[in-house]
Amino acid sequence: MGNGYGFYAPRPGLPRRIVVRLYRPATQDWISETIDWGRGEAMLHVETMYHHFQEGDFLREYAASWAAWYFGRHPDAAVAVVEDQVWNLPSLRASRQRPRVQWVTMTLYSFARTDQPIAPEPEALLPDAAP
Amino acid sequence: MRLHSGRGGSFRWRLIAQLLRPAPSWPLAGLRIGAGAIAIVQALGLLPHLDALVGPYGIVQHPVDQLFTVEWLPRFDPALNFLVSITGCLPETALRVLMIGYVALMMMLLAGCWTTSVKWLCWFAHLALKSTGAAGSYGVSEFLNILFFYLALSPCGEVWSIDAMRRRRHRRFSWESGLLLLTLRLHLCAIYLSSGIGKAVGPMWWNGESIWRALIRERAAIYFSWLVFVPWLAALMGWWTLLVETGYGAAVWFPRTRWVWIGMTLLLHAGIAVFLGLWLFSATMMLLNFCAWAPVLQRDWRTLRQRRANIDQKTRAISRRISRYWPVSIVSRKH
Repeated sequence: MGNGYGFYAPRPGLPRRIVVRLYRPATQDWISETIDWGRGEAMLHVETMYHHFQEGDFLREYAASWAAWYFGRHPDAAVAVVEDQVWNLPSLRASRQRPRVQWVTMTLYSFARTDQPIAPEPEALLPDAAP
Repeated sequence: MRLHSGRGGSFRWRLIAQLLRPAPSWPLAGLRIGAGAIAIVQALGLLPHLDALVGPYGIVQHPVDQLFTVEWLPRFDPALNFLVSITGCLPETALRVLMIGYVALMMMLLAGCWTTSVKWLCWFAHLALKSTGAAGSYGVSEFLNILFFYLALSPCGEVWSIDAMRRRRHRRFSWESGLLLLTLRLHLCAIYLSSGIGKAVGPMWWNGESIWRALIRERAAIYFSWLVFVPWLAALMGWWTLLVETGYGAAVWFPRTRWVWIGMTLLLHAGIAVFLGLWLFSATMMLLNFCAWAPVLQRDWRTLRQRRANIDQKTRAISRRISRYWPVSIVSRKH
């Protein structure tokens, strides 16, 4: 309704998370990172941040910001792949058949640092190579 | 002067008198103490990850974070830059200093110390914190903002405060309190109605899917997976939520339904706290509901007791009359 009072309206969103995969040229490996701060107030803020990925505006800049934060935590990383994932919870009726519930990647954003050589083997950067 | 003459005039006067009718000051003091406490708990919860959530080099850096808010809102950035430029400290240190200042302000508000100026500073500081970490701010920040706005306009330091102890004179009733509490009640009605209609327009709150989605989280999935065998229960919970939210705006104005609705609303928020883990949001909503309606509920309670007392009095009078005319022999024979 646009006034900010419609919590969980018209429906609650599916659980989301951001997984960032970072490539380190020095060790030629990929590491995978996601935020897990328990269930406190800080995590609720992060979960709110996750849900901005379903809004259409300036997603590229938003994802770049996440990548930049992870680059700051891993100065040796040269490439960051930001994955917006959704927990594909089936509907109440479909859940009776006990389908497999898992995290599904909705969108990928990739970023590379310009001040670091990326990889000696370009095939290492293919999405399939990501763990 | 039309106000003095005619039927319309008297209605206006009655309306003005109703709007400016003094109300007890303690609900505003309760809001002040509750808001201060919730803001402190929130700030302490953010403290371990402050740089990531609010810092200039956090998860959402300030130039991007600004896209989530309005440009002219106060932010921590100017104060942060000022502190860094005069002390030469790291932005992370400056941010911690600002946060300590924020908590100190909230403690002053909670204690009711220099309330006249502190309440405005608290609103300003909370707004700055909310807009600096705009990408991560959720319901509790929005409602605390509303709460601080009302507190800034209200005489919230009249009772239960250090200011009141210093003055040794307490305005236990004030017209400002009456007007603000009435506005807050109307605001709450608008909030619940808006939220209820927003939910009711989609099918998912009617068929239980929303309750399913809200309750089933990756970590808590095991606790509520049994809902698949009783989908009607999820649907029932959805309908109940819709009933509470959409009906709130009407039901709270009638003494007969008010108790039930406020009770159901508090129960709804208790459920949100326990099952969704939104403790601070629920605490804020419960505080708003309790303090906004407490004087009215108190009045209802008094009226009810008065009515009961009147009924008891009448019953006693009737029984006295009956015992006067009732043959004593029959009464004694019965016992």
